[in-house]
Amino acid sequence: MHRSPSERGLALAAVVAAVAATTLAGRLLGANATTAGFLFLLAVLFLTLRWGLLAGAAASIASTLAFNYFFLPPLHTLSISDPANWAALAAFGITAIVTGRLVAAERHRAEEAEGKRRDTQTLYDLCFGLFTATNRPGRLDEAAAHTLAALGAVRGGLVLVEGGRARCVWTNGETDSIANEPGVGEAIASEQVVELTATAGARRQAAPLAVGGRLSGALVVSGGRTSPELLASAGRLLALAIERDRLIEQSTRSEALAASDRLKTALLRAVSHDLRSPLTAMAIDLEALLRDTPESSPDRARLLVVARERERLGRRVDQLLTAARLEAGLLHPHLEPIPPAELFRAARENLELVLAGRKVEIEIARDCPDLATDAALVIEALVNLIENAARLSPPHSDLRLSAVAKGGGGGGGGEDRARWSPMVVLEVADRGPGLPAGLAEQFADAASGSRATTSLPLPSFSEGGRGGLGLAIVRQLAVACGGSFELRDRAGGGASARLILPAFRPGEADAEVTPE
Amino acid sequence: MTRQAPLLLVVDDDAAIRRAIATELAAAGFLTVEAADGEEALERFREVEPDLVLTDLAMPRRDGLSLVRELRRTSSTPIVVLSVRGEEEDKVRALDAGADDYLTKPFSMRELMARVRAQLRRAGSSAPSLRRFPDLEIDLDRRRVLQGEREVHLTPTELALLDLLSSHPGKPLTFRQIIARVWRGAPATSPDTVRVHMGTLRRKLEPDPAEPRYIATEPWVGYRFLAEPLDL
Repeated sequence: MHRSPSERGLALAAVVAAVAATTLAGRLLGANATTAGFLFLLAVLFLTLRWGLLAGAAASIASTLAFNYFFLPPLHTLSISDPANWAALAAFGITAIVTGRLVAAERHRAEEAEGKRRDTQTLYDLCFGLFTATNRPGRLDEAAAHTLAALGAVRGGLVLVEGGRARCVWTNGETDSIANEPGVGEAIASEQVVELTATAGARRQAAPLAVGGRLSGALVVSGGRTSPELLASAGRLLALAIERDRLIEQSTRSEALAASDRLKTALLRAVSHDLRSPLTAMAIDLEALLRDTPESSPDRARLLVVARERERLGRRVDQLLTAARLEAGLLHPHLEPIPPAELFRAARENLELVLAGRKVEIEIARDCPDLATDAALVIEALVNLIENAARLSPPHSDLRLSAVAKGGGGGGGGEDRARWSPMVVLEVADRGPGLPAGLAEQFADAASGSRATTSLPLPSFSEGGRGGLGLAIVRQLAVACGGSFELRDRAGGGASARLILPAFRPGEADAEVTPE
Repeated sequence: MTRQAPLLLVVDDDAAIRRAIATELAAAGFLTVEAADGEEALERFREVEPDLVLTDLAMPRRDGLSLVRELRRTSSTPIVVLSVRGEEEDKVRALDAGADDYLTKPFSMRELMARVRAQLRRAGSSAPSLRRFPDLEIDLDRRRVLQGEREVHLTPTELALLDLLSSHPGKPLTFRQIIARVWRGAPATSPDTVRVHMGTLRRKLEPDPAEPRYIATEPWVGYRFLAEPLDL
């Protein structure tokens, strides 16, 4: 209970007036000492009730003096003749003070309850304002202004910590420099309400904003008469509102991304289905025609060309769709251990017509581990490379597919093992014309291990030969599987294309689980 | 009902593919019935009770996955799914839902015939406890595996895996199916657990790791037993 000097003067005047009025009334009514005593008690109670404990105490003392002077014999002196009257005076004094105190305490409790009710009302209004439709999500300024208004303040500002730095995100009647004010920093660090330097006679406080380490900042409140407790609660509400808005924004964004991914996936599937269905129908009929055409017929060679070209078209469709999936970020490798022999076998099965009548040499080193990779992607890359090699090298020259271990388990010590993940090199080597100038350099960056790069520019279609979309996709597939791709000239003529892919390490899997 | 030749239901929304497959199957001596979508397929299925169903996955009205589920509620007729690349997850779902095999478009007719014959051969017959494959004999009663003359010593898990795979020669088995049968669906079992045991089984079984003869990895799906059973 803080009272201003003018109020204190008023209280004093009231005390004097009330005691004087009571004395006058007692004298005029010719009241005896007992009646006068009760009248004075009434005055003390009234003053305490209206003006508080201090006024009550002053009234008690003044009444005691007036009672003695005007109503206890000998009158008009501050002395008392009858010892019994001493007792009466003492009883009066004590009663006046005790009842005054009781009344004052009651009054204090009532005021406190009223204050709490007001705070609760304020917080409820604030809560309602921040978490219902009246506050548009994402509008920090509206939320902060709303909070200040609820606290009865107009001026203030909002400081949020982003990336380790405090930044002023909204102010009204304050300057952006509040972000650097020591008290504001203290409020953020201690998560306690901090009293700031007052400006222009207005009290200023900083309330911390914190939600479980995810949000950090402070609300500066200037003016208003807010208790630190109320301010702290208001700060918590505002912080929750800001956090909620952020979460809403995040989930909206991720929903939009997921929806876009779903759309892209559906679109690509539809395209895939629509492109591959006619190819399938063609394949089945071509197969039937080939079967029914005798070896001696001149049509057979032509049909074989059509069948081979249909296969090629199918592979181009595969490449384009893979490129589209890579581009759309929809290609999520599905890594599983797979022996290199199976990859070579599957790739060759895909190229039956291309490899017909050609000798393919397969060599898998004895110590070559399985790969930990997406078999479908690697098979596609191998199909690409083998087709290239077959197309560019003389029909009866040898084609060599090999797999060897590289790094890690190969021969390095324990330290090497930790630093270098073991890899497997899948090589497709031919006896063709070798690499056109500049192509090896183009792929050198991939070989040097820039693994994070997934979107190197695609060489244009017009390059022909070994360039074109195919090799760029091969490189992207290798990178997507955590590996790399390199091209080099082969000793003794021809070219060597190498996919360097992570090896499977059995220790990483849970080998201990056994069935019942 | 007696039929001279097996009756196949061909389901695809693409008329050209349907016709091409049907023509080829007819040339190979099969009878065929066609349906353009899943709903029509269900009607035809109830009418003609085919011996095998060949179905596309992406179709209007009722897709292949839903068709497989619906058929499996009442029937054990073999189902072969025809998918395109990019439908890997649907393919695995169809296998888990009860499809017996899949082919990725474009496929060769020879391969389709081989799969169809394998399914028809297996339909209704249960695997004996003594199984013979080229250079491999599995005697489950005596828990003994012979490769040529040499006995291969397998752990109980490896033997359970080999039992499951060899009882479905040619059929792709998904990780979920393998875990359900060999590990009885134990909750902590992951595909990695299966891979580890499959790895040791392969090392013991395959004479030449460069030329797998018995067990093939099916990318995205699981494993397939490659060897053809020898008639006893």
